Amino acid sequence: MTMPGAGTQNMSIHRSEFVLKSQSSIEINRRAFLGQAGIGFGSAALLSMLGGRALGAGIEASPKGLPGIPHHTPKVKRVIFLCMAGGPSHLETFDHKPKLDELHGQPMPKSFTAGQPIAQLQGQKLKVQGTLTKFRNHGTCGQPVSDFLPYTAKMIDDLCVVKSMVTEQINHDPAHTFMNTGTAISGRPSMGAWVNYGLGSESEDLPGFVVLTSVGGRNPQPIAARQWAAGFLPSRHQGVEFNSAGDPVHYVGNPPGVSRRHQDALVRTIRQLDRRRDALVDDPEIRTRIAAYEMAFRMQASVPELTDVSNEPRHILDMYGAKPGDGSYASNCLLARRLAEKGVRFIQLYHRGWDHHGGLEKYMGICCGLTDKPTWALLTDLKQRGMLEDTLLVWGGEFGRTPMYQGKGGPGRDHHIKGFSMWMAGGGIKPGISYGATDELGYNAVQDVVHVRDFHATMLHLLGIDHHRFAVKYQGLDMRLTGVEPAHAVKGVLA
Amino acid sequence: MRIPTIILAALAGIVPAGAAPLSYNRDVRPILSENCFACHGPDPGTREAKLRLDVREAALDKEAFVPGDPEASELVYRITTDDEDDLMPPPDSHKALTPEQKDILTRWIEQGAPYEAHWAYLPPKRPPVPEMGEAHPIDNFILAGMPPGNRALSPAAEPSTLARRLSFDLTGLPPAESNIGNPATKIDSLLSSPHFGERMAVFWLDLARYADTIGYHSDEERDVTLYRDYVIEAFNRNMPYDQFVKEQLAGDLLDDPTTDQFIATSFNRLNQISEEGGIQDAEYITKYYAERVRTTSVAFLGSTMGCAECHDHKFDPFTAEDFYAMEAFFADIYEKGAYNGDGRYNEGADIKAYPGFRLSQWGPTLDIPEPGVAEELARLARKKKGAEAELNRTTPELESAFLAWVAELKAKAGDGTPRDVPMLEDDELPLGEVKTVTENVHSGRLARHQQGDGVVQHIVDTKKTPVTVADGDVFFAWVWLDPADPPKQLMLQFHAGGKWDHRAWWGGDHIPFGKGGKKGGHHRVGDLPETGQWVRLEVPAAKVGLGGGKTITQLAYAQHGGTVLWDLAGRQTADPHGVLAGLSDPARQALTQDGPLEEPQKEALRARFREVTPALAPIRKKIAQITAEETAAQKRKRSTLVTLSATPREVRVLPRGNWMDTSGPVVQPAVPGFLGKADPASGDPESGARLTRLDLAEWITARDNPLTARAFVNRVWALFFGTGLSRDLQDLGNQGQWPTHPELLDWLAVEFMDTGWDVKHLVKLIVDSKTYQQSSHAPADLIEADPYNTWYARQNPRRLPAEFVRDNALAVAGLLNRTVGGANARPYQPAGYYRELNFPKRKYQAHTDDRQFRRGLYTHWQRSFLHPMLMAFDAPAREECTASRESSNTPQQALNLLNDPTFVEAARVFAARLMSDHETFPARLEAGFRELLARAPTGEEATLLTALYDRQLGRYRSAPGDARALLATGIAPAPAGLDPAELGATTAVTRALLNLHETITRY
Repeated sequence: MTMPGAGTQNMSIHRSEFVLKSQSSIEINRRAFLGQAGIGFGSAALLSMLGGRALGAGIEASPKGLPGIPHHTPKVKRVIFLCMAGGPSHLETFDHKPKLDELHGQPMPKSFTAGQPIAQLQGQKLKVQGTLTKFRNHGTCGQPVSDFLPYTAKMIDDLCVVKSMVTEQINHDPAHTFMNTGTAISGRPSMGAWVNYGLGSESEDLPGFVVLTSVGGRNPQPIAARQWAAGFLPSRHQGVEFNSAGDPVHYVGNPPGVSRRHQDALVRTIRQLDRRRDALVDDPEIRTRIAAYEMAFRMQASVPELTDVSNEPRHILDMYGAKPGDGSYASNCLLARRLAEKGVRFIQLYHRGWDHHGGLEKYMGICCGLTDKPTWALLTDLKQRGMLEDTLLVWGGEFGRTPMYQGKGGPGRDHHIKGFSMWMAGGGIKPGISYGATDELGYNAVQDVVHVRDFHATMLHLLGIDHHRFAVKYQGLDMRLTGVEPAHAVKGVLA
Repeated sequence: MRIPTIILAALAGIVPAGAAPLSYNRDVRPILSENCFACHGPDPGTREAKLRLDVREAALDKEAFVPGDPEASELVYRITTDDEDDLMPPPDSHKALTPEQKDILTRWIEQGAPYEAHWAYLPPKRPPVPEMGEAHPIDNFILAGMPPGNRALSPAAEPSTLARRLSFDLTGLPPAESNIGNPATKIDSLLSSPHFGERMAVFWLDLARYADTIGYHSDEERDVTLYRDYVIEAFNRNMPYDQFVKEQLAGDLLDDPTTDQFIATSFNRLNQISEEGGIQDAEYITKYYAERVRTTSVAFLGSTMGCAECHDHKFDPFTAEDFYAMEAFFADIYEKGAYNGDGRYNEGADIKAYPGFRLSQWGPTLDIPEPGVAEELARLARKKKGAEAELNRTTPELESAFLAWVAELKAKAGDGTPRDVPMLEDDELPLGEVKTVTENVHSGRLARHQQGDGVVQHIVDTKKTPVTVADGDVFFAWVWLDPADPPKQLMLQFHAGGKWDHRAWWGGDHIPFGKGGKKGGHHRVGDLPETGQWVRLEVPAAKVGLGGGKTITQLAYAQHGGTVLWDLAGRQTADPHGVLAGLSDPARQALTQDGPLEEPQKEALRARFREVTPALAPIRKKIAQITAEETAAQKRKRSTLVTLSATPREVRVLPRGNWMDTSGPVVQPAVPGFLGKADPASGDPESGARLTRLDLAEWITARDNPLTARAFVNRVWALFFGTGLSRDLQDLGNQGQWPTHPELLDWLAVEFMDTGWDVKHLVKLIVDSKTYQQSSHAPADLIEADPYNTWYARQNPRRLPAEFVRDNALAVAGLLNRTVGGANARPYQPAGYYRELNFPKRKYQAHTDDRQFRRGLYTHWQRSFLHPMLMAFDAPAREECTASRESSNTPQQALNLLNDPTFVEAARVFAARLMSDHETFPARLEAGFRELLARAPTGEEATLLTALYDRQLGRYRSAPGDARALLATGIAPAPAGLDPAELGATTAVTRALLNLHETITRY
């Protein structure tokens, strides 16, 4: 079968049925198996049904992604997604609306809000909240950035600020799920899993999708592991959460009383025993298991070494404001750079303090204080190492905040999904521009609207993937990160 | 992905390609469905050129093809043309037909382009069993499906392999002994094991999306473990599957439902729910209904209706209206959308109308006392009765004490006329910094002078005159406000029950204390009084939340700004000594009247006397203790969420699934139109009665429902072979898989229904077959010929499911707690794993008793953060209905088996047992292999492990501290008398064994 949609083809291998129409296609499928067979595989049962002998050689330690992908020359190798969980206010970061100050305290015009979804302000009088900070134009591009983000202002010439984002879910949990998986239905694969499924990992001893959560900020909204789940994709593509306390990855430390040397002896014995068994029963699944133990043992050394940032030079630590082992966003930004250097494909950082229903000024001060400088340091560090050009750096929350006042302990703003801001930077992205716009009150995205699935399509495009052709069959449907509604890569942000 | 099976068959030489009669269902529909139906199928919303190819008449109408004449057929031109403008599928669809597919479509038209209804939508009929010379129908079907010349099963598996296979497949546990004996006897004994139900529950709970937390946002816990136990029990008792389905969907609607049938209805309440602040009730009701349709259609029908939430299904004949009509079956469920305080239950729903149920935080809930609680309560009641008789007895001594007590009370009670009782006397002054004046006083010698710019107050203890508030008391305080410098606000604050939570104030709202407080915490009495004169401020005690019997310990006199003189303060009370509080009306009356007491009055007073007299303190204490025991016993219950039927909510078709769009038509409950009609329970289809969940369940389990039995049988087959006869376990629809053995699937489905939906019969039938019992090891040429084992000419080796990986290690170690059912278990888990949870923050406490060693299926199932071991081994989070699990093979699994304390502990306990039972290392090694793998070690294996043992022994001898550290893993006690170095080294060996691929694989 000639299959431009290689994703579909591969899916057929690990999920359901097999297309066997000629001897040569069997060979193609076998090669696909080899690609998959590295450190994990979707269906052990099916794999083990594939004859062992033909697969005897060439088990790889690292999965290489799907045949046929990338579809075109990628602009970037990796993504670092800086998730400001809770939903930062676009109106106090990038989207300056002087009209809000003019109308401050007045009723919000009904023409904006009638029939619109509303979260915590349901049933309340809606009035306009003026801007809670000052904006100034920065950089040679002269773009406005709020005073909350002095470091971001310094790098504005590198950013493409999308001011016309829209999403579909107005509450945190489903909105995160939507941003990460393209649907509000729980349990679908997250974008990091999709990207690794398509492209494979470049690291021999690290997972391809790493999640870092940070301490600090306002009483944070909870977040669930479904945000980095693999859904119906092979589970090895799920995000691995690195911990700042205890084992950096679950069970990466030896048991008490077991040294590395002796764990090595143990793992070697296990591998030798598995090999002998394989010689007897000829089972490719055993060879995968052996490779998995090899990688696990490497991870036991590489992960603690990687996550220990104390060997970074002083000036680098200072640039980020990182204190080794503190679990802060600053330390995680530094860790993100180290992971990127090691070939990790998708790195997602969460800072969870951005849900400012009240006390917005105070909490923006705190959250920006914790994140602004480290974010700048990460971009700057990537740049000085020549890595920004093959990295896509993304900053944003699951939604924005209302132009309307909410007052849970001082002025704040409610959840808002009809227009908000995110920024992208790095390879293939037009630097120093803003894209799209909201209306005069920052309510509706009105110009060059970018839906979350357009953002996904753009991200995939930069990675060399045509989102139309990147589908997996599940429950009788061609599932895509970008869903079934029309989506397009946003040309206007591409360099 | 479609399989052109015909070509597979051709490759294998069954029939010469080209000559085969084509089957629409097997050969043609998959091609059309995959490539054409999205634009030329059931969904009119996306239909192009008004052409639909899924209905023959419609296709002929539009002259899509000419039966028998490919040359004249537009379709053939369209799929073969070089003209990109005309080519189908169009290039921008990213679909393309292979030459073979084009050939099939061409030949199909040549053969007259016959259509068939989709196989899974036709009721299954029992096909004849092929006569292939085998006794077992399954074996005959399987042999008949093999290519001629290749018709052979693999040899039977080794007895020890079969013992292990049967034990894991039927109970999820390793075999008690490796000697299988008579397989048939073994199968019967495993099927009657209580662990059979546990094994089947692992399968069913994925479909039922059973979990122990609500899923969304805070992901708080909610107890539904009774439902899990119901499932285990249902499989153990071999409940007919149709009954099982009915009880879960509609147990509450059955005649006179049993407790278990109500528990079964937890099924409808297992969906994720949310308590996130700011969510919309109606939106979340929409989410819950849609989820139930997804779950019901996948779990029971093996159909995916999910996409019809937004539009008509593109591949199957499900319409959006079908979707919402299915939702309407669930519209009567007593629930709300937002569990954050904003949500509303169904109109008019009142839990009082459902005796025996209560509303918990998560809706309708059923409490079930634990076994023995009823007896315990009866025993306590008897004991209490005896103690109360003792309390109520009368003796001359008690009677005279009573009369003396009454006389004393009467003296204190006064005449019932309210009078002022001061709370602060002049002789208690001065107090600390409080300034006193002797000029311009209201009463006595002194008044307190208080002046300030902002909030200023003085606090007075009431210790000298302890104040127990009586019902009807009114607090008062005399004040004089300086006309030249009046305050903005006055406030009296009372400290009671350890809190400053009772405030009365006058004037403006300036003083911050207690602002926004609850009722009585911040009570405004009125405006400020006149200045320049003594004024009496008054506030009823009840207005500041102080009822009779409360004790005040401090009083604060506060003002905002100005100059105020404060003087006499106290309360106006009819019971200055507090002797009337807590008395019944007749008793109160008796104490405040003159003259002799009448007998009813005496009896009322005696009741009070028995409550307070020191003479009866010991018996009162005894009664209090019994009451405490009763309360504790009543708490020994388990609870579960249940489905109760209330006023149905209105359900509309939501255009594109948008819950805010109410323009769609209102729908009534109905089953998908193309699958027939459900009849109302009344039996009269014309009655117009609204269909119920029970009607839905009856329709699902009706003999002529084409999907239910096939979906279940197909999944049960997969439990024992790793793959379904139709390989997509989610979906039997157009996008599903043409079965490898359609006749066998139908035969099994009919057999299943004919035997009364007998699950154990079905299972036994499958595992009794040679097909099941054959070896999983196959020669290379068979693998070459049939790489995906579509012939079933061998068994499939399979990694154990997550839960059984754990159970196996614990069982072999001898640690496993085999209790069936009960509350959740909390095995070891990395510290801080729940740090991302909030509202409230969570701290995981692993169990430190026998619950630590419970089976994997009892593990606390936190949807947002599933236990890392379960997650690593592909257990789903159960946010949604899951019909099949991945079976991955990852480094995370390796790290888990190597370093998770559960497995390290199992290894050391296993090692200790081997050492205790056997004298020498070779004997221990031999026993370890037999218990874990049901075989002896090979010479090479023994050499490798002996070398490992020797190295580790040397090491632990030279570093005994390390051995002790290793052996301290976990909570299981280490047996005394074993040499730590030897045990440490043996533990290294058992760790190696527990990590083998063979250990976690069933062959």
